[in-house]
Amino acid sequence: MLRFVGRIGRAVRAHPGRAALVVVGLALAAVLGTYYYARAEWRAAQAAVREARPEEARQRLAFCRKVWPRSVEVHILSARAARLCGDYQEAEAYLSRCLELQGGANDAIQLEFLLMRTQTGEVEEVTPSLIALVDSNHPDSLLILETMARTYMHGLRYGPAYQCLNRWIAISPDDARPYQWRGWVMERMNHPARAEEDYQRSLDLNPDQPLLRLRLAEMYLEDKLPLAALPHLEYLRAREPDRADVKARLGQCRFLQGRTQEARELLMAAIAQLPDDLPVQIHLAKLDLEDSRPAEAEKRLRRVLTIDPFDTEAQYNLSLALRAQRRRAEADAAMALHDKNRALLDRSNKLLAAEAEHPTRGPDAAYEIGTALLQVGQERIGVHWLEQALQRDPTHVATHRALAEFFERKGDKERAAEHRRWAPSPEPK
Amino acid sequence: MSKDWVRLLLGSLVLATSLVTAWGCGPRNTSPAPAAPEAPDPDLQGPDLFEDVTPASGIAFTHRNGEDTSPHLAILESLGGGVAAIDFDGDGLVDLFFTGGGYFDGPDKKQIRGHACKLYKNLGNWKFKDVTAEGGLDSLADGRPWFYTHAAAVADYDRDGWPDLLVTGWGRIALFHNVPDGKGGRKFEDVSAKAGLDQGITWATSAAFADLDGDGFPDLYVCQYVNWNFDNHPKCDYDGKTPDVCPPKKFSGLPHKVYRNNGNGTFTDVSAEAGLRKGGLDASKGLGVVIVDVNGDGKPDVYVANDTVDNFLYVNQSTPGKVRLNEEGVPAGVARDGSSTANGSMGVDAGDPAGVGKPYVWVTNYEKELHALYRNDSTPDQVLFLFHTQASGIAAIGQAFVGWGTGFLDFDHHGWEDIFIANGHAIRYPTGTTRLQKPVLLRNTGSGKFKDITPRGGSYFRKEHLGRGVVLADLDNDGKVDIVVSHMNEPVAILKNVAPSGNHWLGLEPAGKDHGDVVGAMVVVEAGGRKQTRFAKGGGSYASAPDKRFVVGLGPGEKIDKVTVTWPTAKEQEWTGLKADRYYQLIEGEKEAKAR
Repeated sequence: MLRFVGRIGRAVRAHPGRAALVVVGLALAAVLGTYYYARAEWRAAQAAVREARPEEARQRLAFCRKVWPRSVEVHILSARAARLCGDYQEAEAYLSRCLELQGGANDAIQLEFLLMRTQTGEVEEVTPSLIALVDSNHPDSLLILETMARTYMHGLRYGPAYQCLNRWIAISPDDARPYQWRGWVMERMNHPARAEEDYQRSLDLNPDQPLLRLRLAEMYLEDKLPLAALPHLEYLRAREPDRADVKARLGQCRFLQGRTQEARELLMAAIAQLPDDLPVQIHLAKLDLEDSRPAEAEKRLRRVLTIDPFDTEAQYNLSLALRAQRRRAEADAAMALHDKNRALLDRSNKLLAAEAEHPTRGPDAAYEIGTALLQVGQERIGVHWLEQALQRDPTHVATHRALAEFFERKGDKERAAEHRRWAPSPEPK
Repeated sequence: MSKDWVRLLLGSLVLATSLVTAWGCGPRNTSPAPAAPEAPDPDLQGPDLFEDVTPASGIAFTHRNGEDTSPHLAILESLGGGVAAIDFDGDGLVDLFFTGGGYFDGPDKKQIRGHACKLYKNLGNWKFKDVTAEGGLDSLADGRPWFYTHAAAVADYDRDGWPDLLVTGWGRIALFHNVPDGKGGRKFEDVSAKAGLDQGITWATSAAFADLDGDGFPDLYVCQYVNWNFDNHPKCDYDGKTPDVCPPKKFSGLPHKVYRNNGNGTFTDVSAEAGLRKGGLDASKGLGVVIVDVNGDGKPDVYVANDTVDNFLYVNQSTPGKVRLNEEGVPAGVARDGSSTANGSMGVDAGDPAGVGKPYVWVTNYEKELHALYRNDSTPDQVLFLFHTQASGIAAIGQAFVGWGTGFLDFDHHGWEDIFIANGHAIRYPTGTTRLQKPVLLRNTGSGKFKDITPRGGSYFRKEHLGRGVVLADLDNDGKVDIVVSHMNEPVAILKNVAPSGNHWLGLEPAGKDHGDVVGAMVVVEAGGRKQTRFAKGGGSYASAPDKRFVVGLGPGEKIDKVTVTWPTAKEQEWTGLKADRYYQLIEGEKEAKAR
């Protein structure tokens, strides 16, 4: 190495002019390389934002900001990527920097501010402005619709989300993403057939969406359409033969086809990596019952019920497994618990369906849905509906009481106390 | 040097590298390699299995639901009607009776009237003759017109050796006694009032006879549907805009009825003392019934297919003279599907598709539900079933069908019971599927594993229909079980079994001593190293009365080792020396089997 450096030194001394040229050349190459690399990063970041990979965009943009520290465009995109990642503080900081650089707000900065307000919950307030921009064919219409749809979807407001997605699809019918999102919304609006159509369309436009493909296969399995699920599962398995979730669903598929031996092999291969996958456990339990091994089925079903005590399918089959072992009193008790939970689930489903069909504005329906969901262990959605009730009426005592009791049970004294202020005494019996 | 400058230099190199690599990269192929072409499925190759012989048969009859006479979209229009296979004149050929349905009359079209039912005499050689009038079935007693009819059931209720006929429908049921016609033939006489069966019915669907209390006389179970009438007639739709027939969930289920046969030509409604479930919003919307001994105690048990609510399994705990039925459907695992959901159940049958000697229960269900094959895991002291649809391979047909009439049949005598299902939607304007639907033919590939071979069925199977009642009956006594389907507002279909088969068969007709009822009896045929079991049943299919005879496929072997019948009295009786490819009547207490 030293010898090599020595040889370079001698060459420089012998040919100083040529050496200077090489140095200049190298410097130029470095500058040009940097420029082209930054441009590539910029384009990749733009694509990443467009294709819903904001984390990746943030990484790429960090480099771009080094190269172009005074670029408003780069900072707007940085704000957008941060917003899409939910990092509103950072997004706001970039937007403030934009204002400094620009010496005020231009249209793009204003739009990004509006979109941030949308995403942080002020969607109602900014919707008219955003819709007006879309109506006037604003070049960022897709971005606006995407942000609004995303916000509505996060807020479980499926109707307005659906409207935004329809407009997105109308503007950009060959984009796979809005079909995927609309399918997601359709699923939640209890239109599985339309969800499947949208998912299929999304996959037709972009086949390389393994998670979506798996979800579509799962939906076909839920519809008991093994022959529709099979090509998707085989596609996934061909690409990732060791993927446990694909094996699991393929096992379910084989079970539906009556290929029980193959189903068991696949499900057993999956269970080691997915011990808490409820469908896998339930299917294996059913296979155990088929093989007249009710004690093994019981073990699996009890495991399911430790994970989800309200899984009525597991409760029902547990009762049958116990009866098959002639433990009739236990079987009857399990069936009684099943019937009770089933009634609670049916009630919450009915309330949700009624609200979806005829949305209300008052707090009572949201309160009822929230409490019904809490009763069946759907805590996240239950709390969301109770919060909806309070958005509709911040003084709704019954909702505060329900939330206070919920957070007390969870040991969250601070949040419980917040609600207890509004509902100091327990509900009268 | 700062890290940034290192990254700058590295960036230049990466850029160069990426340019070079990008040069040589085309778009990635995301599609999986095409699968190798599969070999043709031998079960789907070959000639048609059934031939539609309706046009030349002389049977030209259509059950009409009245939708063309009323704008009301009444749920009454959704049920359709059934068929009875009944050799009413004892000539050895199965005759056919069809219920007629009805229509809406009056200025507001709210008067519910009946179309006449039809009786066709089997003349042989696939020819039938309309003998409704000669057979006494062109009207009810005293010339009163037919009511709106759905179902038919057959039994020798007075044990005179001749099969009698019961017809159900809107507002009533009617019992017809098979009597001499004075010209050497037979005819029917409406004895509903005399029998005490002319009252107490609101809306009767399927019915079945069986000797429930063990006195030898067949008692009667009648399903009732829901409390619809024009005073309880809500408006419904399924897409937010198009008016349609309401679903059963909009109504309360009606209590079913069980009538004890008093042995003197009369019946007594013993529903309450027998312990039948009351109706209600979430109970008892009965459409199909089969009576069979599920737990091997010799007493026929009652399985009821209810629409959208739990199905019933009434375990028979009767004693002579006292009917007592204990409902155990839910704990026994036979009331719901494997996910604990009550289904919209319509058709029903019982058979032994896996060759284990116990009756499995088979139920056709509504769309978005699986049809249900319940494996019988019962023991003498415990009734228990397992939802076996997926493991049997039947789930592979999906959930697109609304299934009605159905039954087990071994159409090519290969030694395993296959399944036929008639399909057709219940509502007028279904979304996501069609009102008319193709039937389904499932082949038992052995040990109760099924495969959809509908395309092999023949021309009838390649078209869509509005199927309802079905009987499986050997209409030409060739040992091959034929199919008769009643549709709604579409002519009935007579499907001749033309399945090519080098296999042999044995036809059996168990008959009780002194014409006693044999529902609950079990017949075991030992041949070719296997045992095949058949069960004497009441009811079955949907709104229909299938052929009471059994056809057991023997495969290529002709030798029959032994036939054993376990009568409802728990007595066993054996026959040996029976020959293949013919029918025998096996009479309780008689040593010799009577060749037919």
